[in-house]
Amino acid sequence: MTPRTRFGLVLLLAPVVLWLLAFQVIPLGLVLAVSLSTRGRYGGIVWEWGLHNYVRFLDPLYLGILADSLIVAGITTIVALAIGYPFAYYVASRPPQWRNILLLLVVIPFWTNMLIRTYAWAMILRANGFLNNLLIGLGLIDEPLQILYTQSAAVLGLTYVLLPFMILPLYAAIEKLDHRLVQAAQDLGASSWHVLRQVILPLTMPGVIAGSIMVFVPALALFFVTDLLGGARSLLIGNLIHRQFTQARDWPFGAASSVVLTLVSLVLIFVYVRFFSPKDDEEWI
Amino acid sequence: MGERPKVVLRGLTKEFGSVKAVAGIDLEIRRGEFLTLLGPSGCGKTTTLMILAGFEQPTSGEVWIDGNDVTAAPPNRRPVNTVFQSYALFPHMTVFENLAFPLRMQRTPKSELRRRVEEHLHLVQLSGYEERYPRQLSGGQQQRVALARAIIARPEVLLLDEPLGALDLRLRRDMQVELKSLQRRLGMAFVYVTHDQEEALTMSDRIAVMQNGRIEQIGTGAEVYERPSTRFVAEFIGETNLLPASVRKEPSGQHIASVLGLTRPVSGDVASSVVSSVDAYVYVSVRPERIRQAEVGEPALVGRVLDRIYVGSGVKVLAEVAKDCAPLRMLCAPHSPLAVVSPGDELRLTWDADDMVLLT
Repeated sequence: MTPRTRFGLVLLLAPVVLWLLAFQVIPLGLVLAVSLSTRGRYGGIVWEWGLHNYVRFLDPLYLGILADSLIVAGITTIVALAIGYPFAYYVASRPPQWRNILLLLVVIPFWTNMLIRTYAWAMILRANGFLNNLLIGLGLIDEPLQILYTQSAAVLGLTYVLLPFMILPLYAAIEKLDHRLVQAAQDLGASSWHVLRQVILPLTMPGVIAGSIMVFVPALALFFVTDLLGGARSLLIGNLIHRQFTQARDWPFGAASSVVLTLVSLVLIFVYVRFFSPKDDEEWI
Repeated sequence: MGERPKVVLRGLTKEFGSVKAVAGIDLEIRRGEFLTLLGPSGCGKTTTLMILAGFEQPTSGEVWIDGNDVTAAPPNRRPVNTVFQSYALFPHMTVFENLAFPLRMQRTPKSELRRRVEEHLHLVQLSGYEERYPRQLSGGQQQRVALARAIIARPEVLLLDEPLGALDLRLRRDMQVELKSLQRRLGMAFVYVTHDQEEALTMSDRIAVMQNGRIEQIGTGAEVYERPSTRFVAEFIGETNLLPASVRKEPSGQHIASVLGLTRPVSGDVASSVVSSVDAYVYVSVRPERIRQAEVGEPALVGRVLDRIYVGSGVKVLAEVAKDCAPLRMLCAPHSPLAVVSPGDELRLTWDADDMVLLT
């Protein structure tokens, strides 16, 4: 490499490196540093290093919260995939002019604040809210159901908020699918199930992986949705971190919890991608 | 022959909105026959093939395969397989998996599956390529995999949708010969779609020439080339000279065609539709290689040479025979007397009655 091309390479990479430094490395470094410090008497940070915040996280109480969070995020991902995949497939198989309209419908809810939409769900789900009144009005139930402030409500809210993040990557992958491959599979004797299982799903797996990650990771941390819909009974890791930084004023423990969350997410993503990616490492789309 | 045909298409039509892609096709495909649907793009040949494969439902008409009405059967329940123009190999499967796919759909036992995949890879000269992915193969190799995948489950009929279109000329010629010999060895009925008349002539037992959703003519290569039944067929297959002519019937019963003043007896039967009146105006088709110089004393057309083009295997000569008529095209052997003319020369030209076809 001549000095000249090396200089050009540095110049080309500089924006990316600066971006990652400013928005990834430095913030994460700060969180990591704080997680190793000690909480001051009045909630400040005392720079006395140690792993005590991580040791504290090993308490079954916190591990239980982490496990609950993983379960809720996992269920949310599965529900979002179960709804999102058929929807994305339906959209991708419409004529092109319809696809854009349908995708616009997916995106329109984003134009309203997520918090307000979550409040709207609370209104719908509460004891004398829209849903219960409707069910009573139809004579299906006699007394209001307790839906709000359950884990199901939390999953519902998370799925609702995150569904577009599942649909869009899935749509991108399904839209790229060569329909002639589906025809070829049918031609070679494959039933609808085999076509789906052996051709459509494997070929759209990159979209499934991308969508799942984009739902799973935020679902672990969207504290306000679980706060508003899940109530006090479902404290998830996002809520825990939120409370450490606000009410509890324990930044070091909040930071340590954040680091644990980040590491667990990374490990799970790694396992997931490894497990579900095509056996062949090369790109085939 | 008395033998039941492999495929019967009866009164087949297909409309896309107001467009009639297939406008009434009746066709029988025999056992072990190589039949080509030949025509320009938009003639309905691919739509016909897609109906046969089950990807399109006909607007009306029936499809029978091996004595069964399969008109309403989905593609996976028809004993036909297709070689697609784009090959449509599964990119996420190895060559082995691609070939095994149709066998797995038939629940073939494992040991037999491996044996048959290897046998078919050998058949298309791709032994040792089992673990490759389609993208690691050349176009010609992908084409062979697609072919092997389509025949491995032993379909009753193999459909081929312009499978050689993406290959370069040399490879295409080699593959034409290979396909034909493979078809003979398998004894399988092939329905081949192409717009390339040379390809059709090289491989087919019979050619169905299509235009505007209909079959214009069906017959062996020699029949459609030498006895075209319409002007479209005459012009689409090979090169030809279409000349205006009038036909009259002699008292003896013999029909005489007058082409630009040159009279020639018409050989064979003349359809009554061609000659209904005393002086019928028609066209005659004469192939360029059938035009020759007239003997002394023989009636002839006088033409002036416009151009002489060397084409390797022969020489093309263009000669003007009448002011308002396209120049006469001739093809002759490199060292024949006609081949050594130069522009401006006057020639006396004629052809044998047998080499002329009357067309409306």
